Amino acid sequence: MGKLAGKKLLLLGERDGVPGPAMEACLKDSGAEIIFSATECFV
Amino acid sequence: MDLQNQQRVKDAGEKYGTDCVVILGSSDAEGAEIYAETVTAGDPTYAGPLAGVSLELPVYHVFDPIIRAECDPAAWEEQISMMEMVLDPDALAEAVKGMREQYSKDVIEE
Amino acid sequence: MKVGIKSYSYCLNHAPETGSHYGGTPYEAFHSGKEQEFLDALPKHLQSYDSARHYAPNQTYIGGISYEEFEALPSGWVNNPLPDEKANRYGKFGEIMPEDEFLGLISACDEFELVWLEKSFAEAVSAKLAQDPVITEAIVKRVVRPKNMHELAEIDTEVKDRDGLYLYHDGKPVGCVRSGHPTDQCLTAHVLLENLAGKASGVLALLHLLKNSGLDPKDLDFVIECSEEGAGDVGQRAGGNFAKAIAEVAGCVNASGCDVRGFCAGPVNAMINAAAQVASGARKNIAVVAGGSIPKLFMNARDHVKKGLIALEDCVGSFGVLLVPDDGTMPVMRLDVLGKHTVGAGGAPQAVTSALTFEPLQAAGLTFADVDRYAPELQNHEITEPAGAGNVPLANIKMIAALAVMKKAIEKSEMMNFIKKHGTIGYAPTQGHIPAGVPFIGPACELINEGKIKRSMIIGKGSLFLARLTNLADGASFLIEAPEKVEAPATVSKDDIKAMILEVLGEVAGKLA
Repeated sequence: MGKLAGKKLLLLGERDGVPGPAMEACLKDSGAEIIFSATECFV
Repeated sequence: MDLQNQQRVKDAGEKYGTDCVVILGSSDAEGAEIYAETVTAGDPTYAGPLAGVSLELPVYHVFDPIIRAECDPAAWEEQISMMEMVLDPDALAEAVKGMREQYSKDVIEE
Repeated sequence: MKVGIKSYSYCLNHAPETGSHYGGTPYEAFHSGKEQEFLDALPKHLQSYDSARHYAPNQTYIGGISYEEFEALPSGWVNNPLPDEKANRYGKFGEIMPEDEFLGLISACDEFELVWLEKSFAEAVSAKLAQDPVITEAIVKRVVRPKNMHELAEIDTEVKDRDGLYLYHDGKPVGCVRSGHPTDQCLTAHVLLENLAGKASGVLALLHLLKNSGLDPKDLDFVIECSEEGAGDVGQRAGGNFAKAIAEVAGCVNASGCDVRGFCAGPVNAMINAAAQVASGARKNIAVVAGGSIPKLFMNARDHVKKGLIALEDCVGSFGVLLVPDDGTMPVMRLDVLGKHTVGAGGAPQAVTSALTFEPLQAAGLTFADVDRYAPELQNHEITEPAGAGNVPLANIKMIAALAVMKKAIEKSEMMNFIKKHGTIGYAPTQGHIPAGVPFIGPACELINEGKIKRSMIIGKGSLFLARLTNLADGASFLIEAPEKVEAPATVSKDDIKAMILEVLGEVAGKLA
């Protein structure tokens, strides 16, 4: 059982950093529920 | 932080409390720190829905070793590994850790 | 398949007062009523027109100093103003126009009595605009059309009773933008100001483009506009067409035009679109033009004010590029290998970077080091770093270098060298679509013409997710290369042509008989 099991994940990504969908792909089987994933752009 | 995203964090935080874990993908340590502060102590710019709202959510950078260990290795390789060479993973994880240690509740046990 | 890059223009419109009232961040702060402290402090953090002209990134943008000169400057540009002789209004590519003249130009671009300027102000700026070498007599006259000039009392009424917005100079109202409709949210004074400022700055870029190319406005065939503004009404909120509206003011009577959109990737997509039309022979020539954005002014000013810095996001940026058939004498844009971020590629930075750099290079039989200069993003980091947004150009060059390592094109230990040698330092205002690669088209062509580089890659990336239509990012890229000298065609004399015509006419006459 992973450390994130049962948690609710809020993923706040950045276009020129790690975008939301990339984090989503990595954490979708972590046992946690992804509540939302967003990507922001500062430029 | 985008006002709409602040609202989404606020809604989730109010519904699920500190069962929520916020994971950041910020490129800049200072920016990551401000985001971490926003979801724990409240919006320091006082512009958004989290102004004066202390959700105290556990918050991590995706490069924090605790989070990285929970990621699917193949997906990490494909999606994030290149950015490990581009960004400063340790500085980003540390910046968020600083805020987490001050303001977060129910952090993940190491 | 290649097209020639005949000329380019880059302009800035200094607009600190318009920006501090109507830039997205201050405007939002004003309406939320929560950030009075920020709004009160912002005017103290503005820089004068003179300072904006002495600011090295601005001079680099308009071609007042060369990119190589800029690169050699010490960092901390705001604390190292350029000497007076390098701080002119006009550069090789364009100009930095002061705000009062910009308001005059906005008024000249208005066809619907939407912009009113106070009479004495309008007369003064009309006279100033007359001194600008690219501003036509027709534009100068339009600033002082009676229907666009009003008394201050009438301007006050328009703002107070009819939802108009003041235009300011030296802290005082000097005019207003009127509301275009009592209920339509696409025609509010704020939206119309945004669109008219986009149009006016696009006009300035097109006028400089025509001057730089020596092309008669009447000979321009087509305009493609690629800003991020949306002009329309409630029935079609981004119907367009900025391109044609801009061409009209610039006197391009034989041109038509259309708009291409794609967030910050718009300009690169527009370049590809235009180049394809020129290469196919569908158009004789195309001007790719974009005006700038009022809402992006002072986007990061909250942080600049908080840190006691100058709020540098005070310039509306614009650009123009003229594409013509390749004749072997000018730098060319290649159409055979284009970077294309596909729907299926996903949003991971390595997938995006690969689609925009590695894949087209591989298709061209080239490797990473064959591109002398990459221009992925050119935002000025002196603006973004204090706002916690990092150094975007550097991050993007690092992504290319990191991908080169992953593809085993370079060693990891060579990354920093690669970045220094093949990267670009940002100098463009944070105007969204403006910094996305295209500012470097000019410097790249100059460096090619001077024989200093052979190849540059221009990359634009767009954050499509901002519109809440899709989570996808977007991106496109193309290569600019030195021309291949073409063999001079065998010459045909007038007598030869005469003989051929007589021969054909003789045949025709024979058939008719």
